[in-house]
Amino acid sequence: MRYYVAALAMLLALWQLAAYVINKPYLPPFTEVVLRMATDYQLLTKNLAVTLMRIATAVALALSVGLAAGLAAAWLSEKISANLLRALILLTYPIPHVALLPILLHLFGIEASKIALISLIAFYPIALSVMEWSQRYPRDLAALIYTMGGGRRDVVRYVALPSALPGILTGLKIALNTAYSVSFIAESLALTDGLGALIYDSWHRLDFLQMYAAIFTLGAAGVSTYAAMSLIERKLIKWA
Amino acid sequence: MIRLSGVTYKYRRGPAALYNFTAEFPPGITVILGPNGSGKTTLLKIIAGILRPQSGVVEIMGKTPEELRGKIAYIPQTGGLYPWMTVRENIALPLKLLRHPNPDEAVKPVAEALGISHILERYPKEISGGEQQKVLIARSLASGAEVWLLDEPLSMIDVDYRREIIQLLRKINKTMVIITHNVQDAVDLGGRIYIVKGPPLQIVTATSPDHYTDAEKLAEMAREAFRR
Repeated sequence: MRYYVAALAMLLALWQLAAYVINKPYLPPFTEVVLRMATDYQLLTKNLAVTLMRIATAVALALSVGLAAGLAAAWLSEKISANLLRALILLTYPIPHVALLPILLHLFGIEASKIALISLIAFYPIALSVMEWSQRYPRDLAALIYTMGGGRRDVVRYVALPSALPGILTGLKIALNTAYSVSFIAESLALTDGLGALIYDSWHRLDFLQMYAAIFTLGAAGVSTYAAMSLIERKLIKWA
Repeated sequence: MIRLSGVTYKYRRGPAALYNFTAEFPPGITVILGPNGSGKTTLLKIIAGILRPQSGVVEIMGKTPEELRGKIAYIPQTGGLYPWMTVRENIALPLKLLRHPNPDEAVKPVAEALGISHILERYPKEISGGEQQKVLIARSLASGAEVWLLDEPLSMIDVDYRREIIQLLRKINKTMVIITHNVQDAVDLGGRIYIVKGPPLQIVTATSPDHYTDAEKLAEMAREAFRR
């Protein structure tokens, strides 16, 4: 923990130093950004709440669909459907999904398209990790389930899923991290609300202090989410 | 009674582990003594129904291994415990699989009998090799298995636990096939002994406790058998 605090202090000190050396409006000192954060507290928290709600909805959607799709692709007893689903996920994964934003906009409208884009991008790390990790289960332990009187479902429940849990949680962490990045793109498209919209808007008004305040808020939320996920991971995977 | 008749099993690479193998294992303890790599583990996995032979018949109390699922306890040499389950969950697992109404409660008396009540909430990585072996035996006891198949149960444990595990196994009155490469283990387990060699696996000598008195004599028999 102390290394994280030290790294953060180092980063902020570097920022402060760079701001004095470069001495341009586009890189204000960190201390001034903090003061602006205090001034814009209400505006920042209001937009943060909007962004967090979008990310939470999108990732919840991606998690439920990704978990179902990943498990079906790995475990569906109907082999043709499983292989087709697997091919579909792998084939569409390398597509730059951000480029689909105009289509999503037409399909879902301004508000829902933001959630759809974040969800679409968060879906792949989850689906892929479930698909891959749930097949990497220890075969000997699965064989024992059959010997003890269990069936295929029991193998999924007692062997494949628990052994895949660390991989699935890593996929979820990547999905959440990506969701924060994509939220900026999604929200800057239609400047209604959210931290992405605030960053974009203040940037174009050359209000760099507000831009940094919003970036810092979004970054802090991302780091907190990652820390919370790591904590959940430690609680859930006590056995590792 | 376990009967194997004309059983052949060949892995994709290498020679056949079992070729036209025929044997009978009556109720009580049968120890299969043979060198590493002779096909002993393959034999055990075939009886457990984990591997299906390419030809031949396996019969356990008149049934196939598949028909007897839930009644067979297979204890592998390593890694038989589920690392993500506590000791309690590991012991309760076969009961859950067999839809027992209260699996967690059923664990209690077995754990008490084996003296492992104090480690029930621990994970396998938090207990010793000897304790892990006891948990595997507890799981098999809880399941009510009729046939016990144990792969080198004494190889990874220290001297204190070794004596305790041997006494435990000797007390369990079931059909039990135990494989080992250790002559002293074979003597101490005290059942019929099949000296084997391979691959392909073949029984060289079958003997009973009446025919040997100590490990030295048995070791001599084993050496003699392997020379043939």
